[in-house]
Amino acid sequence: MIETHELTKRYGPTTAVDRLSVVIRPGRVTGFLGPNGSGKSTTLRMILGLTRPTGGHALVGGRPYAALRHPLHEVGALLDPGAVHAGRTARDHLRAIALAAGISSARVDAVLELTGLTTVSRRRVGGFSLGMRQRLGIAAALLGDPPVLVLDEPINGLDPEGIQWIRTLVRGMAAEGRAVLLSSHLMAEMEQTADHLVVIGRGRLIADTGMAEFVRRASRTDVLVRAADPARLASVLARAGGDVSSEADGALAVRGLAPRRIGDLAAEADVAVHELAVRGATLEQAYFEATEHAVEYRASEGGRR
Amino acid sequence: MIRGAMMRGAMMRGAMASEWLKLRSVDSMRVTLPLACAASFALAVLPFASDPDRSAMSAGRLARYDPAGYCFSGGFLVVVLAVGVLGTLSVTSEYGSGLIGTTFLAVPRRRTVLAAKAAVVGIAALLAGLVLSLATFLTAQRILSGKHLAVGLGDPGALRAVLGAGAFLAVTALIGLAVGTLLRRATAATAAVLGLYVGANLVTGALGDAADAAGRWTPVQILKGLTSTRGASASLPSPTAAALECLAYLVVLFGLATLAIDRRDA
Repeated sequence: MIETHELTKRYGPTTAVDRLSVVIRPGRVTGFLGPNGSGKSTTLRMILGLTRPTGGHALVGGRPYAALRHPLHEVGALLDPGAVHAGRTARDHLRAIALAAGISSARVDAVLELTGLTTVSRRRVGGFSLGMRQRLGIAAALLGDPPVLVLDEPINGLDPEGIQWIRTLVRGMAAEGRAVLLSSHLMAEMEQTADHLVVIGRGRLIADTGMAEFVRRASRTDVLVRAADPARLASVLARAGGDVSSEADGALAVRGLAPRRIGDLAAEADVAVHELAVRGATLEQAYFEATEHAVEYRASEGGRR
Repeated sequence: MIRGAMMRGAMMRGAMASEWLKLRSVDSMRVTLPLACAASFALAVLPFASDPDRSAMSAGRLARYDPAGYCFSGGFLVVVLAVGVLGTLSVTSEYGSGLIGTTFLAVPRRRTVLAAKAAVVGIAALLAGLVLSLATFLTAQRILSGKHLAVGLGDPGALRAVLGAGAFLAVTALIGLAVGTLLRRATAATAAVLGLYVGANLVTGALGDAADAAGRWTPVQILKGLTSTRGASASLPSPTAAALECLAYLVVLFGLATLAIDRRDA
C-alpha cells in the first residue's frame, strides 16, 4: 500500500505537486493520469524517496521509502527504461541491482525468464530496443517480488504483443493481492487495465475514483439514431424532451432520452429507424473533461473540443 | 543497536559487491585502465634507457639524480590522469543515464552508496597502482643497473616512493569520485579533475616563487613529494606533509560530496 499525505513539491515559485493525499490500495490496478507537467513523475519520485518533498509525506507499506529495510522487497519500480549503462549486459545490470539488495542470482534468472529476456541476457543493453529496455526495467522492478509495483509509462515503445503481455502481468499482480500504480498516456490501454484512477492536474488531485464511475460521470453518453426522415424525428424527439443534434452524415445524436423511448417515439411518428446505438463515454472523453482546465501545455488552436 | 549495525553491515557488503560488479562489467574499466597502465609503464621506463652511465655524470647531476622518484614523474602522470577520469566516470556515468536512481532505490541510504563506491574504487585503484608502481620501479632499476645507477627497495626512501605512488593513484581515483559526485556531469567533472591535476600546476609554475606555498598543494607536487628521495624544497612537500595533504583533500571533498548526495534530489 502507498499513502501520500498532503504531499507537496515546490521548485522556486512553481508548485509541481500540491497537497496531494491519496491511498493506493492492494489488490487492484490504480491508473495514474494527468497531462504532461502535471506532477506525475515528481509524485512517483517522492514516493520512492528520490525527490525530497517540500511538505507532507509519502509512505510505502507504512514507512517512508528511506526507512525501508529491504526496499526492493517492499516496492518495485520502473521509472526510466533508459536508466541503464549501455555497455553492461542485461544480466549484469540486474545482478548489480540484486547484489545491492541481497537478492540471489537465481532470482535474476527467474525475472529474465519472466520478462522473456533470457536469450538476450548476455547482450549489451546498448543494443536493446525501447521495448526490450522496458522489459528489462520491469524485470528490475520484479526482482524483490514486491507487494507494491510502481510503473511509469511501462508500455511506451512496446509492440501490441508486449502491451498485451504487460496488461496480463499487471492484472495478474493485482489479482495476487499486490498494489499496482500505473501511469500511462494511452487511454484505451488504461481503460482495459486499471480498476481505479487517480487523476491529477497542475499537481492537484482531480479525481480518485473507480474506473467505471469516472467514465460514467462524463457527460458524453448519447444515443445515435439513423432514420428515414431525420428532420421529422428530430423535432419529435426534441418535443419529447430530448437534446438532439445532427451529425455530419445526417444521423442524430440524442441525449436525455433512453433508446427504448426513442424507438417508441419513432414508431408513433411512423418514422422508420435504421440504426439505434448507445454510445458510451470513453475514458479518453472523461479524461479530457476532467482535465480541461488543468492542461499545462496546450497547442494554441487545440483540436480538443 | 546491534541488529541495526548488522543490517548496515549487510547493506554495505551488498552495496560493495554491486559496485564491484558495476566497475568490472563495463569496457571503460576492462580496456581503458590496462591501456593507461601500459602507456604509463612504457613512458615511465623508456627515458631511463637514454640516461648516461654513472661515470659520465657530473657530481652535481649525480646528487640530484633520483632513480626511485623519476619512476613516478612524466609517464606515470598518464595513468594518474586516466585513473582520475575513471574515478569521476564511476559515478557520473550513473548520473548521466539516470541509473543512480535505480541504485538509490536498492540502497536508499545514499551515504552507504557513496561509501561502497569509495571502498571499491579506492581498493581497485590502490591494487592496480601498487602493481604498476612496483613493476615500473623494478623495470627501471634493471635498466639502471647496467649504468651503475640502480637502487633497491631497501635503499632509503625507495619503498616509500613505490608505496606512495600506488597510494597516490587510489587518492586520485577517490578525488575523481568525490568531484564526480559533486558535479554529476561527466564533462564538468573531467574538466575539474584535469584542471586540478594539470591546470593548477601550470598556474603555480607560471607564478614562480610567489606561489610556492600553493604549489605544495597541487597534486603533481604532492605526488613528487611522496616519491622523491632527494629531499623537500620550498615548493615540494615532505612525504609526511604530502600524505597529510592527500588526507585533507579527501576529507574536504568527501565531506562536500556527502552533504550534496544527502540533500539533493536524485
